[in-house]
Amino acid sequence: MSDPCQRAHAALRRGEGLDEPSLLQHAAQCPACAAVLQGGTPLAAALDDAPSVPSVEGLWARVEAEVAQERGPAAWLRSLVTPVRLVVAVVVAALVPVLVGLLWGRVDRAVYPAGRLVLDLIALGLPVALVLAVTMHPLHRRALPRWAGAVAVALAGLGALMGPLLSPAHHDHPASLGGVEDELFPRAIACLVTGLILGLPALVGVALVQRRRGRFGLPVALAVVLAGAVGGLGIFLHCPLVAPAHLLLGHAMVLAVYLGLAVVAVPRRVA
Amino acid sequence: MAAYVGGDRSAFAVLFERYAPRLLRLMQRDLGRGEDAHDLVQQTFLQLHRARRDFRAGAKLRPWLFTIALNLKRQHFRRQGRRPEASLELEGGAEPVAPRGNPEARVGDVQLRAALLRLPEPQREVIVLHWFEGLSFREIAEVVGASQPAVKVRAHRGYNKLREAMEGQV
Repeated sequence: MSDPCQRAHAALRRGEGLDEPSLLQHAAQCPACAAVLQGGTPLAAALDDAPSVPSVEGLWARVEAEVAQERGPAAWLRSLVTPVRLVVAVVVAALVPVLVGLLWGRVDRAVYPAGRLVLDLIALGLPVALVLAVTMHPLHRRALPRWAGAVAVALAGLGALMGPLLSPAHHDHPASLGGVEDELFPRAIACLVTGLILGLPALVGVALVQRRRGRFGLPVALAVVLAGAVGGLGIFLHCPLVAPAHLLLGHAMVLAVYLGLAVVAVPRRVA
Repeated sequence: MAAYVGGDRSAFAVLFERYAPRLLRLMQRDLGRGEDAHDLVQQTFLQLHRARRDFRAGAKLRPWLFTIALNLKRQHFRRQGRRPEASLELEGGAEPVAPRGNPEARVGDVQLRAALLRLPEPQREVIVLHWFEGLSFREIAEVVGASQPAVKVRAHRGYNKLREAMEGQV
């Protein structure tokens, strides 16, 4: 027992004072031990009346059985070191937006105002990064504050709503002018379905490298939100329509649908 | 742990034998003796297995393992939508822990346990790890993700509140 706190605790538990000079010196420097010392034997004795070490009989068989099931590609992916898992998750989340941007990008790029484009990309891309960071935070590190996930999800919601709430970015390209009146629902549904599909690879990829417990849970719910954010970003990079009603029903709804699924995935106490 | 990361499967059993009772005690402190505490210890070792490649050679296992355990416990309480205090009500098959010692000490024990549960979570967590689990302040700082001075301040405040609670009963 080399730790001075533990030596001090042991002395106090035995009902002894801290007569040893080194312990007295330690108590003078350690506010915690000083407080216990000030409380005297009653406090030390009451603290000592802690539950004894319990038996773990039967638990090893359960642990062994669960660890034995950790086989196959999915288990291997989960067991990769965190930086590698993070790189995999980033690549998976970025893959769809990058491919859409490069191969299937919006046709009005030349006339889309640069400042507005940067703003839109930040509003839709930043939440992707934040949700990803929260989702992949490893369990062996101190937990992130509870609000971190909520802030990331709220930012994703704001990012998705920013487009519909602002005035149209431009009216300078013929392909950007549709999606209203009779075309509203057909075009919005097409974008919604496309956005949902674009989000799926991120959901599957990130879920595979998570070390979650159980099939559902908060990490899975966050992965679902991530899919919505990635799907929203992907459809923004493809669809040239700028009408607010279309952006609301066709683009923002991608996140809304995934958020609904996330709510279902959030664990609840089993009665 | 290094042996286990290196592929020695039997080392995992040694780790379990060494740490499982302490982790179970840590869980039972908040959850009582029901199935939840056992489940969380089981999950802690599963997560330890999954994260084994993240463990750096030369690092201390104890704070690493306790961080996983406490994070799982926090997640459990979030999922349940309640704080550890609720487990004072011994529910779900939990059995009361028989206090040892003479009647005066028993009164002190009950008083102290109530006072401990009234402490703010950060102070309570530090005291449990410091006094009951014997972690050093350096290890506790690692587990709770705070600086050593901050952890000492939490412990000081917590112990003072416990002392006041004990003095109040006299």
